Amino acid sequence: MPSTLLRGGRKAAVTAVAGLMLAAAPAHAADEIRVGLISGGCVGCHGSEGGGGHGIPNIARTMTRAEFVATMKAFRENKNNPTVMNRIARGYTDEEFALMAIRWAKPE
Amino acid sequence: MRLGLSRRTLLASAAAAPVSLAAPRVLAQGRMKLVIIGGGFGGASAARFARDTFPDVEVTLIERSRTFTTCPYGNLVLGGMRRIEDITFTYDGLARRGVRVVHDEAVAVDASAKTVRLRNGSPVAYDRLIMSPGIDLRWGAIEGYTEDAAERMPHGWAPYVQPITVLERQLRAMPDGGVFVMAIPDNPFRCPPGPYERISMVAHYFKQAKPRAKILALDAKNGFSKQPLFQEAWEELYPGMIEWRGASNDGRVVRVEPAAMTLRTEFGDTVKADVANVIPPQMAGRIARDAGLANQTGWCPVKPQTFESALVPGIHVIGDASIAAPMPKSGFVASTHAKQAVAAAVALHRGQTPPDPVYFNTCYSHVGTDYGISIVGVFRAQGDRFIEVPNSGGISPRNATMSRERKEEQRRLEAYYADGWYEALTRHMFGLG
Repeated sequence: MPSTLLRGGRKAAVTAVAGLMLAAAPAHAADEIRVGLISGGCVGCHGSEGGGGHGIPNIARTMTRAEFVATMKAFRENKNNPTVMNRIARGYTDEEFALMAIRWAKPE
Repeated sequence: MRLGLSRRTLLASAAAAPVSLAAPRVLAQGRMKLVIIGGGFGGASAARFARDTFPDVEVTLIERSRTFTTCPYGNLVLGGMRRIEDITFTYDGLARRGVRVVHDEAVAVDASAKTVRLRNGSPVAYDRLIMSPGIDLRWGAIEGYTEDAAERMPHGWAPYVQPITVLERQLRAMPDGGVFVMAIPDNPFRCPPGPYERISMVAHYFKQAKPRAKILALDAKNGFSKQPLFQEAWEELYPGMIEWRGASNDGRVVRVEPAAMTLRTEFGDTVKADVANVIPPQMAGRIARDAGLANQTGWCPVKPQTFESALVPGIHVIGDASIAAPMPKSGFVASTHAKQAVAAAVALHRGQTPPDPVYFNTCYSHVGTDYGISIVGVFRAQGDRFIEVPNSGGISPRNATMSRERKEEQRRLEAYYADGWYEALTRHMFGLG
């Protein structure tokens, strides 16, 4: 469930999406929902808990947030021998990578 | 920033008029009733997301069938790669997670009283309604193609109307050397790459079981999804077996004669089939049309930020029934409509600003053994339109851009990933994992 990771990740979430967070405290719930929506796309292939399968990589707590974001940015440049991830990564912003990282990366 | 501002505006207005504005909202927040009609990719995904994300919302899913057979992977049943049981699911997983699953048919919606009338049970009240009604087939749009005709010339395009096994049985019974004819509709229709995956899976079966059989695809349009990838693969895997005829080459079927097993094209050609698969033009499912959610096209216009109907407030229409081009009518993208529509419905009910949407599609097709291809797309709302994010998405790389070894590896991996995609998506939406 998103909330488990978010409990540990709230501080970083605020940092990651600082541009949206000028109103600070009241926006936390809305931000958790955004994390759920953005990472909801990943779930379609990597599974509800990000565990992967059938050759699709496990993305649950296998990377730090910084590594996760760097991996997504590298896909944009066709690095790491991608099949679909390059095409997908080019559709998302850096800020959205940070939101995905809150859901999938190791808690910080 | 927009979120913060709207919250401040809301707080300010609540402070200015504490009784008239704030009080009803607080009451409404107690236990919002979110009702979802239709338990396919859109509706089941909406129920799962709502249950996971909003513990304080009451989530009701109305679905007439106790089981759901997916359209995706139906073509693999034709290809002999899956059995119908492998692609059929129940709603038990969603019910276990706390979704109230009502197996009944929604027959009418009263948008002013905010209730859904059921065929058998008592009416269901809602605060916000998500409708994911899927498609209906336009009987008679191709002259002679009626429900009766579909027994002889199956569509295999709406499992709740006709299981894919009807077409499967006819293909199995067809003699070697026979001709399988497909009639494919113009845009928009459910699952744009679906007919071409079907051609591929039938060819895969013929190659093993009926090597002298032929496939003739009569298409009402001049191009199709993943076209270069499919056509390269057909040449490579099934040389000489498949003929595809587009609209400008007299591919549009305008009439069928099921008794004679013939199909008539726009410019007067008559084609005789041993097995005929007629995929007719389509429209939004009936409950949506009856509720006044569809326009003259038969599909439902929606607001791109929220999927709320552009015609009837308080009802969000998602999935194949909605007008959401350039997004395709696909199961995967419906699951992302669903999540945005749920978040928007809850926000609007609470007087908050809905989050900015990102819609996402990934769609794999199996073309042969260890041979898969894909299309992906990322979409956003821009004013009153949907747009695809420039320079993103697209289809698997083509032959010319890679070495033979690299291509084989790509196609093998994509076939493997396709199975993971299907499993992850279905397990998620039916609450199984």
